[in-house]
Amino acid sequence: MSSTLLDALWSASVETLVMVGVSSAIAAIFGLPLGLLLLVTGPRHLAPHALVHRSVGLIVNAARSTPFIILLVSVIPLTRWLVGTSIGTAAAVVPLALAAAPFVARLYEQALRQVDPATLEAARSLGASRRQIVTRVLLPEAVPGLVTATTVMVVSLVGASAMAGAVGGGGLGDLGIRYGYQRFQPGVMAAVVLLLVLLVNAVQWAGDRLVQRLSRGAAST
Amino acid sequence: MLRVQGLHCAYASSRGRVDALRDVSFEVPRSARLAVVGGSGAGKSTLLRCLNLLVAPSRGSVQVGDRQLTSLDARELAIARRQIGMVFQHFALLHRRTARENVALPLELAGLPRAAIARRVEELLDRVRLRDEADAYPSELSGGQRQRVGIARALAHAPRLLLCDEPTSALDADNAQHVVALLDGLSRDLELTIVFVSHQLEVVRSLADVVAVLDGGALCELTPVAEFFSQPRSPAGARLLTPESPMKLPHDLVSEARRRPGVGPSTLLTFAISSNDATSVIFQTLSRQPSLRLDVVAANIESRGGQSVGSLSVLIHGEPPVIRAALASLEERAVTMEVVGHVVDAA
Repeated sequence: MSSTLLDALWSASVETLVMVGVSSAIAAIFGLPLGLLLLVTGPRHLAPHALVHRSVGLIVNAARSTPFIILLVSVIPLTRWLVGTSIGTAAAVVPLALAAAPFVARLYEQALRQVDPATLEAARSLGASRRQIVTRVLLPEAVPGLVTATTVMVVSLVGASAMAGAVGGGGLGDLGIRYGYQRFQPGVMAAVVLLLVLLVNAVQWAGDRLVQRLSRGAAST
Repeated sequence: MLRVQGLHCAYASSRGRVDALRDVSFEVPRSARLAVVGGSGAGKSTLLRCLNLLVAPSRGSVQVGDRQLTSLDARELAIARRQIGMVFQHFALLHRRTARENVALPLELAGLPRAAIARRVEELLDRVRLRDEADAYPSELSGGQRQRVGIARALAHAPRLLLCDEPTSALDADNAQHVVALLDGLSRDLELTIVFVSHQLEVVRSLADVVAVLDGGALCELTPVAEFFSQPRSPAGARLLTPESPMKLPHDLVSEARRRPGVGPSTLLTFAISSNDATSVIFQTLSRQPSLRLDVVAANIESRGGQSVGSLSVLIHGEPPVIRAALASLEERAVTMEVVGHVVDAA
């Protein structure tokens, strides 16, 4: 493999890491409040509100059921408005984050639901306000589950980023298609796949380790 | 200390409106220990949760000390709850906090300074003898130790009233005994008023001063503990003292009788026995009608504090009018009984 190819692999890897990292962060920042909202507005929860609960649920489901490839092209106007261009790594972050946020919102909702309701009741009995129940009990108790959910999201974003690359986002997927498929260089394709496999495993391993450390003797969820 | 008036609690469920509590009124004086007992679904947990308004009653009032809880807004209620400790069956500790941090939680919620929290937490851990386990996580503690953390947490703001929901049900006998001894000591040392729900009669006997019996959401009796165990004042109370007895009846017999309510040629009756002469009164009265034949189907009677307590189930065979007359004379002699129903061809 020539040094140009190695350089290309290196810069494509960096692009993938940036795409996945930035879109994960944005998705998590929007996903957590959404997941929290989905949970606490549910019936008999901290702040029941049927209308909010149903409409947020509807939006989240709609976004989740849109195929990523369609989302990718249909948000191009939005991407152009936000980033100024629809091509490149920065532009790919927009559809990636937009697809991942509702997905991770559901995962976060599930993770928060795993917190023993009795601890929330105990907090109420101790004189906690609703805000305190969320910040002092619900979120801290759910941290291992939230990390597990984030790991799942990051892993699926690695896959999605390869797809975004194919429509001009750069990164490993883009490289694999251009060299491996269009220029018949199966070696490059294999290297790309290997790097993606390594990346996914690294993310999963780091996530699992983090969960283990955060669980602190509690049975990990 | 605690005054409950006309408490009514209804909620909508999939089966329609459920009245979890019906017009419950009682008072608990300072430093008294009240046990709330009753069958499953009798409303015990709901009643306990109405006392700190975790469950909002539909009607009625709850007064703790000189504070009318039912007239407070959300913020005032949160502050008032600090003066009412609560202990849970499954401890309800935060898994990701150590014992020490769990005990500190209520003090943090109240926004106390760090140093004051640390001081108070050490005091509380000493009180429940958990100093050595202070840095352990709940998963590293035994059930008894976890409940002691729960009790220390409930005492953080030095409450005058402590509510306990089945505090020993998730513990083995040894640990249960320790927790009962701890609660007993605390109530004496701190002049704590305790209201607790328990289905464990030993716990009721060793911790309570007064027993409140709930049945179908209604308060059936409020009886000093010694008297409750020797002579319960309600059929529901008597049933609790021998909870297994109705179960020992042949199942198909009971279900058939329940399908045919009222008196028939073969009638199934259950008597509540709460005194030494109760059985002789029953047999004497029934034997005065020579045409009646009696089968004892099940009996579960034991001696408690020198008194016979339990229940007795019999099948009476004979002409329905004669049976009705016999039942009327039993009622005149203040025998507590229930006509389960009648069966065909049970002779």
